[in-house]
Amino acid sequence: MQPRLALAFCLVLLSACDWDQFALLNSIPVHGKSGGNKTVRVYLGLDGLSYATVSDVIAMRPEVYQGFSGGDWRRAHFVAMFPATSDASWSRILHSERMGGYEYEFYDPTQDTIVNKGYLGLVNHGIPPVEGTTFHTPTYYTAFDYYANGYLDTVWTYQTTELSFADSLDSLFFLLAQKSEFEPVFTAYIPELDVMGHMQTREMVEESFIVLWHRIAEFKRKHPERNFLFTLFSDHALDFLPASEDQLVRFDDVMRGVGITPVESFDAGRRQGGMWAVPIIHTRVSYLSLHTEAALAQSVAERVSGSPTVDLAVSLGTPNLAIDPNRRYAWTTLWRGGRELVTFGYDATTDRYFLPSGADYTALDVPVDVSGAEFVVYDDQALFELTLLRNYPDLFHRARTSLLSVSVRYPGQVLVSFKRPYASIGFEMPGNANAIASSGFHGGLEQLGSLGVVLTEERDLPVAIRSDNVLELFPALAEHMERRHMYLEAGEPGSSLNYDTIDLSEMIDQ
Amino acid sequence: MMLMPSLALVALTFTPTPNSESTPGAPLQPKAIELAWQGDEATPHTDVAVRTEAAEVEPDNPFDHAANGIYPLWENNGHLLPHRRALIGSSNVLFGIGGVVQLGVAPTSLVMRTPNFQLKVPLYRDDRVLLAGQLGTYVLMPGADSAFASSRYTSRIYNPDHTIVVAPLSVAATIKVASWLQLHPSVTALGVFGSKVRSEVTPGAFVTAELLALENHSLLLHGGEIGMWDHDQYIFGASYRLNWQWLEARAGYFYRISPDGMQGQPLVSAGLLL
Repeated sequence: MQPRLALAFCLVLLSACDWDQFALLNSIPVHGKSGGNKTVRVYLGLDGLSYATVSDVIAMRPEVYQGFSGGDWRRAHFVAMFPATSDASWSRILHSERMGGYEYEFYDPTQDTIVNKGYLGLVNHGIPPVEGTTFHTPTYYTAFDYYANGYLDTVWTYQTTELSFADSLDSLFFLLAQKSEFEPVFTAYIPELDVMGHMQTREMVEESFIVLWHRIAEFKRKHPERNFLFTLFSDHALDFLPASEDQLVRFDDVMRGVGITPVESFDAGRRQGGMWAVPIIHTRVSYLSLHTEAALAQSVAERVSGSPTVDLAVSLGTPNLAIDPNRRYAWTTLWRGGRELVTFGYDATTDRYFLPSGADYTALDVPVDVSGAEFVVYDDQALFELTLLRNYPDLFHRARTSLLSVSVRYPGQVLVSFKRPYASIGFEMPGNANAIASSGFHGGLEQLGSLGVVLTEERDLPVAIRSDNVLELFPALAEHMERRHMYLEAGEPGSSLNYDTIDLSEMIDQ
Repeated sequence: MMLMPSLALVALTFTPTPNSESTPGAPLQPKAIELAWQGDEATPHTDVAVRTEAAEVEPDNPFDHAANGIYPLWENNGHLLPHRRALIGSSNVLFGIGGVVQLGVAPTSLVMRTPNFQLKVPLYRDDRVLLAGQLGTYVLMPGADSAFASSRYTSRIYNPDHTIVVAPLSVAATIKVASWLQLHPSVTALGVFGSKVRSEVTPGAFVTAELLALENHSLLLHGGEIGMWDHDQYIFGASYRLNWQWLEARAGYFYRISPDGMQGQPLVSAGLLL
């Protein structure tokens, strides 16, 4: 056999592997023994679905409205971590094994190099994971019984999003009908709403959500033999604020403009001297992370926050010795306009925050009054309630934990939240095609991109849920993940809230 | 190679686009065979001389027709491989014995925690119709439900900790409708057994229309129903088949449509003809 033909044969053989088995298994009608699984909990992870989007749909569509007014559905704000980006956020929600960084591209300090840099990181999204190779998906995907429907599913998700969404729903319900005869929990991940938000319009996201709503209702009608309890939850929101091409920021240029040298390794930075940082450009999102030496972090944050494209920069802060003479607290600084806005402390033993006087809380839309005192103390829950519906929801917890190795192994030393409509360009498209994926963004600290949603028929909900606590409220989901042999990370100890006592009903128009 | 006389006749009479010109030393003129097959109405051979001559020769290409369907489990046809001829393929490894038995294994399923075999026997033959019966067994070992090479594929079966035995028994035919068209209907009773599943038999029917285009090429349209009165899903698809010298290649796209949803997928196979 000629080598070329042999190669072609092997490729066909390889590509056929899963297809034959996929066809075989999915055309065998197998039924569980009667009596099992009278109630089946279905958890659908909807990437990028905003609380505001769902609110609009409820207001517009009577059939959806009925589900929430006297119906079985409950709704809660979901507060994403910062950065509000999918890979890190799903890992935070599901307590799955930490990723290297916030996204595919990350800085690995053990090798002093950027992993999956640039197009490689993008391409990695499209390469199908194959057992026994280096191509694999983030661990959180393991939580989902269904997340894709073919080798090139990710490519189609971006290329033909509407068709891909229809395909996802078809596959999901195709599987659910039979799977539910054996398992009391079914989980699925639907990525297309996020892609629509990035690349298309808010109306399309709303229409697609309505399609999903009807498919759920139709499925439940067809299967009265079981009590299907659906829960829909997202990982972040989308702000639906488009960015023009000149608002897509090449952050290397920003860094040079404020006297910081962008480098690709600490070694290069140290040889370079002066002010330097490793920028992780990520995808087209409204945040960015920088890695640098601890001694440089505050200066780097201060300088980059001076860019008109930056809303806030976050770094570790210098301990306020008047409040914390023994340096027992964790201190975080928020920067804007080239100056420090606030440096706040956190006491992990009491789960309390220390907000000093002299800070510009108004600029952060945080209604605290420190006048006449050196500082004020809030417990975590009080600050959560205070900031939830402000411009920066759960600001202090999110800013603080963004710099910790929770959800990610190698967090940045400086995180940047862009001033919308500015956003990181992420990747450059050839042929003046940079306008794509510029219809909506997420990632930053602002509310519009941060408040996702939890919808459920399973239980009553508090008005808002911090991303770290979703599994606490849905233990069946956690048990399902453990059955799927997932190791669940403990998470950040100070993230728990007492949801029984949270009451924001006066602030929220349900 | 020795062939049973009846099988040789069948092979000849079911060769609408014979490859004899590429087979040196073939004693039977291709023209004669084509005459026997041209026209929409097949003409049964009654001539003893022709029968004898045909019985003594090897068919020009025993792989003119696929020896099984491309869609696993449910699709089949009336053809069998001749004695000691084999197809070593990505989807199937088939071996003919004496013209009366065809043994088969689905190798990709085999390595995906699903040991399996198929045994096919001829049931009836005449000038227009080939009829065969097939018994298969697929043992879904624990974990077979998720034993895909890529996690981007998911099955609706759930057997992480128990074995499921699937045993299809089918009767399939190949019917020559015209020189350019054959139909391959099959009916299957699929038995499913296991300690944690409901033991039951599901009926299914499948039909494939094979359009014989040019030499070595076929276009096939597939349709099937699984469950019948207790409907589970429909299967529709189209495929192309090439048999060229030692190579058989098939490629198609199929949809499974259940009352709740739908899945679409390609099917591709390549095989060496020995």
